[in-house]
Amino acid sequence: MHKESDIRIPLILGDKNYKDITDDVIRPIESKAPRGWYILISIFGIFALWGVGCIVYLLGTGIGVWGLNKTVEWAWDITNFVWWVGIGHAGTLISAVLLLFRQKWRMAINRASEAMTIFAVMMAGLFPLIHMGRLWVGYWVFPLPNQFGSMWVNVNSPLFWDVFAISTYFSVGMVFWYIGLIPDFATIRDRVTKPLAKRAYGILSFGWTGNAKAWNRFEIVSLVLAGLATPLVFSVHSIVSFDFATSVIPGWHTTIFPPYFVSGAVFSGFAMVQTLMLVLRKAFKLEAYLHTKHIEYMNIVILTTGSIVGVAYITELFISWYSGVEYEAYAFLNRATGPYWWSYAAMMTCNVVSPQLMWSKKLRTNLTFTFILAAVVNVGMWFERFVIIVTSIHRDYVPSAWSYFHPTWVDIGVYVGTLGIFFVLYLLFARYFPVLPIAELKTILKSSGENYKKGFGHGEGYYDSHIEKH
Amino acid sequence: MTDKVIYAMYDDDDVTKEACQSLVDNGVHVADVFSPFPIHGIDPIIGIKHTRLGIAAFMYGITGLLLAIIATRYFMVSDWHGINIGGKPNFSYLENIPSFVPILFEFTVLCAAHGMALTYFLRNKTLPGMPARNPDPRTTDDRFVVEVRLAENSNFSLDQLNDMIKETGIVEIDEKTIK
Amino acid sequence: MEFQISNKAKKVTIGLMGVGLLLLIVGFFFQKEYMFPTVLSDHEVYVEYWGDQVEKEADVKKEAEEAMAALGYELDFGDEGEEHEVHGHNAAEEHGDAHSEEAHAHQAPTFEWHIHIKHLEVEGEHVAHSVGHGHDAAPSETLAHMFSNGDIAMSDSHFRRFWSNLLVNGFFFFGIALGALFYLSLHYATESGWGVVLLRIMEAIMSALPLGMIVLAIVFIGATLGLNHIYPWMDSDVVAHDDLIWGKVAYLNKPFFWIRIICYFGVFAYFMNWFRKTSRKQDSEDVEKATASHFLMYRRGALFLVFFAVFSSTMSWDIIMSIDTHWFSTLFGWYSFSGIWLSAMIMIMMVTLYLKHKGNLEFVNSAHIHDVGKWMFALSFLWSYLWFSQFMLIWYSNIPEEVIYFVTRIESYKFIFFAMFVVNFVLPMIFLMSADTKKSWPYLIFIGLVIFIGHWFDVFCMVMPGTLYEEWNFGLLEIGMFMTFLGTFIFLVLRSLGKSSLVQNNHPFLEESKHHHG
Repeated sequence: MHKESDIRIPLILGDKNYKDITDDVIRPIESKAPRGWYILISIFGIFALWGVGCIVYLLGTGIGVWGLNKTVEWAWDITNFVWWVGIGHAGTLISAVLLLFRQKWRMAINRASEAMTIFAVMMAGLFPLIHMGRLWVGYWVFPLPNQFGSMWVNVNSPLFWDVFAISTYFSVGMVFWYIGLIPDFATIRDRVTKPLAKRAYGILSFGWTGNAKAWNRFEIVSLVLAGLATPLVFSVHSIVSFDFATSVIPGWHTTIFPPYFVSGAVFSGFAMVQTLMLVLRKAFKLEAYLHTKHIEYMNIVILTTGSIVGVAYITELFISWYSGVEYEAYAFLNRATGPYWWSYAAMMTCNVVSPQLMWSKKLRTNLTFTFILAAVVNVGMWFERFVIIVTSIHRDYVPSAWSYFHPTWVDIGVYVGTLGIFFVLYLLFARYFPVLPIAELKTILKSSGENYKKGFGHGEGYYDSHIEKH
Repeated sequence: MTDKVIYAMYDDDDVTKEACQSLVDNGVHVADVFSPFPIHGIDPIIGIKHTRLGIAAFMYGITGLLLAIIATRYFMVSDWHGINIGGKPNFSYLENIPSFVPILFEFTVLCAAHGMALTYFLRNKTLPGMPARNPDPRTTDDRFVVEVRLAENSNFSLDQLNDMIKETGIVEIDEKTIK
Repeated sequence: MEFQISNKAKKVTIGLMGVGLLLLIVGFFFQKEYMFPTVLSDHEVYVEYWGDQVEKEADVKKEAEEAMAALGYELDFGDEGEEHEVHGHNAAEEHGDAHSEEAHAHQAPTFEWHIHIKHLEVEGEHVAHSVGHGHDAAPSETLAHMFSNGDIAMSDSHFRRFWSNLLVNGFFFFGIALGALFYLSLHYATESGWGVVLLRIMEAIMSALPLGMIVLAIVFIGATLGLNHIYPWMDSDVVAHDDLIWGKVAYLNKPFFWIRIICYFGVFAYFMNWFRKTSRKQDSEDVEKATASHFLMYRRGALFLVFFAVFSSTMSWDIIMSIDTHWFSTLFGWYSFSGIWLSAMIMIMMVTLYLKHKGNLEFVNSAHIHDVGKWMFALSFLWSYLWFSQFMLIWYSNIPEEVIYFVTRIESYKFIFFAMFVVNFVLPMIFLMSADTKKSWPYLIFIGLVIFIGHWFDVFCMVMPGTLYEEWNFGLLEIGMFMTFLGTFIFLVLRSLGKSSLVQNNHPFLEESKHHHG
């Protein structure tokens, strides 16, 4: 048995037993969806449709409908891509890295944040695909044998690395998520009564039995997948950063990019998890499983990664001066004081200054404040990518080529559309999938459940005596 | 050949573990345990060997790495020999290896993860559309079932087994005849 | 649980120090200052000397003549008259103002030889013929080789190799103690429970912090006083003629450097002492007070991490990156930090295994060892990842001002530079991947020791190319000094372990740690 110290706050509050966990998590699936769900999915559905419309218009007309110009040939598209990939980092980090670190509090958030990861990576993948213009030859990004002679994909190119990184990350993340879902689908399968639901969850649960050998395999597979996903999660955002850092463009080429991008990704990912989970726990009444301590832990992660990102900003700024390379120094001076000073200011305020408020215990345990701050961080991280991408290239080496980027309605439309699609997918997930890992939560009930720790309902030390008896 | 199976149901994981221990101590062979979540420490008691899926993942990973080496070498060094891309002509694999490393890594992970996941599904016989095979629907909720087969315990009679099991803090007991 | 350093351990560590010191002293007298040859033809070699030991020119000439005579050649060191003229020119310059002389010294070698090689004729016969017959190399190649690998060289009057090694070892062992301090505060700040039974070991390792600090301080004092030229930016003549360095003077100047160093050392020493003192005090407190102390350490751990986040980067820029003053890399701080952390983890593992072997750690079980093994594995991966990121990005972009750093390393340090990386990456990757090997003592000890030395070579590759250029060597001096430091470090750690109980009896997570299993 795992002995947990008394000074640790219980992770599952109230007098819960195994059955209660099943009931609490499955209740929203079995009961009728609240009206709020229909309202939200309609609103985001409209966004999504609008986005799809913009994408169709873009594909039919050409990339020219974006605000790109000869100098700024990458702007919102890649900003959104990096932003979404970044958000897609929290889920795997929570389920893989925190699993390796044996952080039990992850169980309150891992399922939902993995779902978020998968949807976010889908949204991210959309941008390079539509940027290709000819969506129907999108499979050319893979090195497939072909009839054009020696037509291979250039393995030296970071963009090709990205193809591999994102598709590996997406598919492995999906498998990891689904393997965890199978036992919980089986739980639903074994209790729902409606024939259609029974059939659907029966197919989804792959005939899971839950016998000892299956669990033995399950645990090892989870562990090995976590071990694989951990370097994978590092590699994905590192490779995204290589898109920029392998270049010779001042402001893009800097060696700190890989770990700093990873840290920024975790930062924004956790902020998105906060946003989603704060709503979810309220709507589904999951306060017993996801309480203030969990929120506080996530806020500490946000504080830590935000500070790492801050250190990286300052490092870049300092080294640009220290390097003595005038182009490098100018790139950073221009970022902070040039025509895009406002985006730099927004980035610094949202990403470096605001998370520092989390040092205060009062603020980091305040849910309203957390919700607002999470939104601020997400905005800040969008601006970070915008600052890196656009401010580094809008002033070319020749002043006659200097330019300024103005987004068109299609730029905005596609972005808003991805937000819409993302939330629609997430709402569907929340409605039909178990949002907490039922089986995993049951494994920590005895060590981290309040009733077992404090023994209420059964008196202090109930659990220990229960154990001794047998 | 028909066989009698006894399903003993418990309502606690630790009780289940203790029960298995006492049955095994008495010389009973426990066929399987069904539970809603993994019971830590039960595998050695009922004699379940450690899975080798980890080793399988390693082998898949090595395969992926080799495939990626062969492919990148073929594309860049054999087929595109000497083409100068970004000031880095592809004359030798080793000299340009830094720009192949990301692909090597990703493909290794891809093969290891998916290879292992597929093996896992096949070994567990969990595939889309498979019927549920747990003895009681409650075993995915809050009940734990220990399965004991008569044929595997030829030293005992059915009644002896039943008596022994009834002493272990069960909540329900069930017998089934299987073919 | 108590521990006292055994007589055997004392003998071994002091013996290590003694033997190391002996080797170090012998090695000390073999420091070379190179001369740089260029082969012009089969019988012509051009040799430059850039140092300041003009008076030894005749001695070296003689040495070269003797070496070649043994092979059957005789040397003609260019036109004597012309040589004098060059000297005269230099001498005249010396009377001018110091500035122009320095400027000149930076442009032209102190002296240069234009050597013609002739066959030595003994009684009308070509003796060299028989000697040289079997060799493919032209005599000029042979001679050039003798210069370029230091067979014929001046002895180094500035003891650069000694100073550089002092910096390498000082930084390496300082890093281990600092890494232990970092990990200890991380353990507190993250409210970890599993490693409580190992905290006293981390405390003992971090208590050796003064060793590294004193040695580094000696190096810095030497640099400030001009006894060594490790930091080019400390030399006002260099700065005056180097626009790039001149541009960095606002940061790289002696007073500010010292202020920063005192800040780092002061903060590290303060936290190190505070943690040790508080945790010892906790041993004799009641439960309530001990819990309060724990939360105090939890907060202080977080505070230390804030300092460390900034200082670990700036510290490695100041101490290491500024050696190659022109060069810069934003990742450098995090890269060197990962090496520090890993070296500390290996040290924690080794001390744990030693104490467990001695039977002093009754609560440490294989799960704890497994976890430290996991850290070794994970940090090896982290280090390799950062090494690769820095190397690949600079290699790929190929920007001259950055890539020069790796060009010098690949030209003159190719073998150890790549071998170091391969060993430090591949060995733990293959042999520590399995859960079984992460618990197996022989594996852990073997891999641990190899990558421990591997990471020493990492620091070696960070320092030497900037201080010794191609004039590096690996010999008695290096081995001896490493042994001396290792012996001293382990002695200090073991002695410190004996000063308090090996278990923090009142730590609120002690029970968790005792019952820790996988």
